[in-house]
Amino acid sequence: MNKIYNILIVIFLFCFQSIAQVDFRKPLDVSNIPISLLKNANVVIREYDLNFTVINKGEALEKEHKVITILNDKADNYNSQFFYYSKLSDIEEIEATIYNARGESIKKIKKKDISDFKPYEDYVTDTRFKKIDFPRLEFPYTIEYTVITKHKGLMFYPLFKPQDTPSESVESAHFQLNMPDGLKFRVKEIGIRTDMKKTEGEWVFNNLSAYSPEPFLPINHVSSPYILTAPTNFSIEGYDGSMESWKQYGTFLYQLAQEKQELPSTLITKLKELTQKCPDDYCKIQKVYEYLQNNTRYFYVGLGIGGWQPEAAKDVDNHKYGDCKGLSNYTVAMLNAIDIPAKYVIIRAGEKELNQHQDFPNAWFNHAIACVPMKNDTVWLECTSQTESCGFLSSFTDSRPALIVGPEGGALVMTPKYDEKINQKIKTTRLVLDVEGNGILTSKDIYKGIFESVPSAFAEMNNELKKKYLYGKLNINNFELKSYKFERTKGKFASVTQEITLALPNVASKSGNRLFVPINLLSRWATIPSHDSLRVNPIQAHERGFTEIDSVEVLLPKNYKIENMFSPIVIPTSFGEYRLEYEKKEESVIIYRRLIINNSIQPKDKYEEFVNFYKTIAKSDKQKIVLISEQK
Amino acid sequence: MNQSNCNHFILTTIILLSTTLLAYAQKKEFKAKYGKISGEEIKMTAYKGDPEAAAVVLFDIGNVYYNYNENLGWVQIQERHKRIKIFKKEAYEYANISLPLFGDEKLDALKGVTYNLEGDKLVETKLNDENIFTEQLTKRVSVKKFNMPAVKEGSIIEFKYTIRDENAFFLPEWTFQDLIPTQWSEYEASVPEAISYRKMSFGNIPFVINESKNDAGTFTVTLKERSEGMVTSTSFENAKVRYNKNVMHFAQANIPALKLEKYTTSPRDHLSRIIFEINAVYKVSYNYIGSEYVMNNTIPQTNTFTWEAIAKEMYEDIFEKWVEQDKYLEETVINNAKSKETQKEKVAVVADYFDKNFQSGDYNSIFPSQSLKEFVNKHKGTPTDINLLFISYLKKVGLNAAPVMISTQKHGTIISFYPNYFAFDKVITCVSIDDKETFVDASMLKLPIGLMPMEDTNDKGLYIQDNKTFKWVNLENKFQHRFATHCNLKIEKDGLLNGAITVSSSGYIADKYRTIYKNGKEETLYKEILKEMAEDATLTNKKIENIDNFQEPNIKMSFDIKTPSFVNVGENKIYLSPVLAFVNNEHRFKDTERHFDVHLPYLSEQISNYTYNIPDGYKIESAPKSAKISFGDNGIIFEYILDNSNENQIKLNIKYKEKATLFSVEEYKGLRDFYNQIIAKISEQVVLAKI
Repeated sequence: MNKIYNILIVIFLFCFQSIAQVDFRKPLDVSNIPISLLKNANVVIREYDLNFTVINKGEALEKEHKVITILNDKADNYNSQFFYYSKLSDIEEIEATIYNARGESIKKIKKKDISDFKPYEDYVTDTRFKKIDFPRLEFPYTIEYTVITKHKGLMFYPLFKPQDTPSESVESAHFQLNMPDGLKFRVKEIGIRTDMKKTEGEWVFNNLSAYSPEPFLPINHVSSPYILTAPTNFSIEGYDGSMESWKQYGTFLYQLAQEKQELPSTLITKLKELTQKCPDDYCKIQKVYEYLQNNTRYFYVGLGIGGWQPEAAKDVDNHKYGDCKGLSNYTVAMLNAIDIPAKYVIIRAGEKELNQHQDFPNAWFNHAIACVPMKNDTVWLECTSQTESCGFLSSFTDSRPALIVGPEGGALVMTPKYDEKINQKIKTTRLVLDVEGNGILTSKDIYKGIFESVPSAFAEMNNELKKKYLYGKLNINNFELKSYKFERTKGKFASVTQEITLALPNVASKSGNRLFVPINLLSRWATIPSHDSLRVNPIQAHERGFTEIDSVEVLLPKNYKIENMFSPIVIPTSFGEYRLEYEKKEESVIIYRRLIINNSIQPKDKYEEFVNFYKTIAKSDKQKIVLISEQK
Repeated sequence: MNQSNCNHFILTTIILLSTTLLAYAQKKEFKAKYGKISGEEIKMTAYKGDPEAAAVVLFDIGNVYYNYNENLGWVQIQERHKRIKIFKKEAYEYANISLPLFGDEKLDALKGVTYNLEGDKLVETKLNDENIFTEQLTKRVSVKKFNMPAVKEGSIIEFKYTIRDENAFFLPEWTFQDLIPTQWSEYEASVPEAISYRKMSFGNIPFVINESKNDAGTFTVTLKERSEGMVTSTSFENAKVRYNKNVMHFAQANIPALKLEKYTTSPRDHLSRIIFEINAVYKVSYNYIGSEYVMNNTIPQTNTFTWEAIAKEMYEDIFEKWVEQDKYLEETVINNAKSKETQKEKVAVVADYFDKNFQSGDYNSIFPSQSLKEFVNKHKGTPTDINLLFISYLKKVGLNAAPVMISTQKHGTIISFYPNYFAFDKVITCVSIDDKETFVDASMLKLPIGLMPMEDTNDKGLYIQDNKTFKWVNLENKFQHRFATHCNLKIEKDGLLNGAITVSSSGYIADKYRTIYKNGKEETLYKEILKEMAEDATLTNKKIENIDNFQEPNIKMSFDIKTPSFVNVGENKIYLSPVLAFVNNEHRFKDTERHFDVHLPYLSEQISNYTYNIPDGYKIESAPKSAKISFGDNGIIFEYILDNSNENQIKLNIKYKEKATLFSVEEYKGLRDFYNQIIAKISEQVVLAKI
């Protein structure tokens, strides 16, 4: 019995040893990563655990645990990790370890390797960072950290996106939201499959592969799954609010702004004087907006209620500067003081931020503007610019839902939509050539919609900057700017007219008795989408759509006639239309070019058509007319 | 006008203006009274010297001096008084002021006021606490941000502050020039003899005042006992001690705004400024001489400080500890390197280890950023940290290696007659390979050994073998930065070009391609090389050699191409643009105006050879003429040699070669015209006609 038992033990040990040999690899050994996760990847997130425990409506404890394998030097930046905190959050604990390729622990990170700092910024905020500085090992190696953060003031619940960039693969991720009794959370799942959802408030992700991002994706395209969570009732620095509806969330924001609306009586008197001769409300709005632009400047101060409460209108009036909230609230206060029912508006700004979660009330905003709802229309006011047109929004805030805030609560309203009918560049050009191929070009170019912002900004700058801008912008090899003029047309449909005269030595290349004249000097198309792999996702040529209209009259030099013209072309596609035609006159030829790109979303199998469309435009725009001298 | 401010000013004036300073008044004086704005200033609508300027600094006056405190030693006081006139909205940022404070610097007094003309009334708005923010960036660095209130077009802003530093390591530098013009900029530094320093000035704006004078100052001390020779007494007594100080006084007037241009050396080379370097702070002692207490003579200010002294000190105090050590070396790497036969292979082994194991940060300084032990634990450091350890490896392997202190392109040119530490910002490696001095930057090793990163190739460096042996070394790189193409193409009747192309590149051009390849894809590289041709060319038989092997200087690529670009078929004619897109046809100098000398980043060379076979049934009707043009004394040459002697073939050889990198501002117009000529030439076309 005893003997057998011993033998069994020996056998058992043997087995165990052999098993141990097979499984000798440590769990974080890089060779444990599935091959499928290595393609396109610079890092592999081995484990990602986010645990968000709400204690009450104003406090939560967040525990983030992440294990990252860094594969190559393109991901060098991962070995410093940054953790943000502010007046509304404390980092209570940080632990970190680094492992070599075999998954062996090399070093535990000590306190002295964690630094506390604030980056130098132009503006004022109370955000700070803790930085873990991991040592650099030979690739691949693995870092691990756990960070516990206490939140005080809870307008945000986490946005959990396990795969943050295309070059990250995720082996496993887990997100859990724990709520106290009596408090509910809200959630919106984006790109989440049923197998990713575990229980109420718990999600798991396995094997999300890195991918090569495609260009021209639709603005609402979801590249990688994520979960947006938000509170129902919340509390922040002594203010209570609810986010269950836009109306309720708007009520909360109104409360923050409302108590900051008081204005000095002298200013009210001044505003009344300023607007007393105005025949209508629009004129009054204009006058107040002008007053704002001439008397204030933008300066961001992100303090107060986590950066959500506007600075008091009377302080803005006193300092004559403020941030978007302060200046917008000040504008609303000024307009209200002369009985114009202006409203404070918060919005997610950014050229590409057109797609918003309208059905999911949340605090996904970063900017404030003002508006005045009128009988037939709404006047929108960007209050941080000293030069913007009254009633005009740029690509920073156009074509998206915005939250209008008032005593009756909040309401989502769309800002003006800028599409190919609004976003236009219209150029009327004349090129006078001499017999040597030197030219004088004059052009009158009108920019509208999203194209208005840049030239209108330069319109306000000094001549030196204007010249610098034109020399940089004009894609012509050899020219001298002879004259230039920028003229703004302000208003709801703002535009800029830019007039230029250029001397163009050798613009038409002279070879023997011929001149080769480029047909298009100012609007040559250069974007060619890459086409090196099979298209996976739908296509959107442009998120808004735009139109380019050019007419170029080329005056033939003396004794020259046309030897060769291009063939006119019209290409209608699902993405838009390109047209290039000409009209011969007695002593000149006029080239007409029109390009319309729409914002439609097209299926992936149209990608080749799309690439060819752009290729044809680029090639057509580069063509030259051949002129030949009759005198030989 | 604010009366109390005026009074305060008078008081400070008395304190500040020493008798020496008053002596300058005869020469050129600028009276700046805080709070006293002239009608001319407030009504000004543009600055005469630069009517386009969005703002002008009316004056900027700085003053640095030292007070002696028995417990603290020399306490540095910096005072600044600045007034800016704002003309346009785009200059509003000048009303947001950020003042970084380092170490023990304390902001003692800050006041500011904005003046506006409302009607004909001068309205003042004072800077108050609500406009002032303090942020602690790190333990040692904080920043005061103050925003001048009530600023609009036409405003004048004025501020004044004092910074007190009980532990000053630096004598603050003074920048006379800004991105807006400056009417008057004045700096006075009054330095006690006990502090030994050196001064350097940059830029070419003339000084209105540039004086240095010895003067006397006093401080008060408490005496516990009397000096020898006196009757002994234990009573305490205050005594005044006289000491010598050096008072430097500088001013510039009507300083134009600094212009930023492409193809220049560092803006730091042009910016009008004065910098100082403190060599030593001597201990204070004093004696009773004659009828008063006088500070003992310390070592007098000397200008005999030399590069040799810097080299010796750097080696003894810092480099030696790093490069002459074997405590922190990996044996396996050393042994592996030793086992190699050639010196180049030995260096390559160590370089490979460093490339894979060390990470470089952006910050540059000739002083290591951490202890050697810390660095070896972290494997992360500044380029200097990495190079110093690299040198210790090479030495252990048995190679002759030494540190070289350099100034990177961004940091500016080393001025030989100003020996100082600030002249350098990086340490690189010099290693002798087969008796040839070879420079390596171990923080950027993805280059063939011997080719330094472009940013390092700035004039010269100080080579430090040990505490006795040092010399200046030329950092000009001897590599060829070459781009060459060879094209054998047939013109098809339907307008296609069809044939084979080879491309070879070396030096920085090859390095650029390697970087593109690494960060993108193969396609991105072809796009970069073919430029606009990539849009509609079909490439087959693509081959790339040496793209991953950065020890090999040449990258070779070859491919077959079919492209509809560059040929245009007309009625009975075929038009050919014979210079394909990969020649650099982008104009480098589009701007018509120029303020600074032109400095090309490196000497480049481009060669393209084309052979075009003409389709049957066509003949050459006209072809561009051959041409050779050059700029400067053969500074740049361009050759365009077209041979159409064979009726079925056109041969075209193009050569562009730079032989100099520096061209004076006076040469700019000529240089621009030269590029215009090149562009005109390469745009010319060949016409073929149906027979």
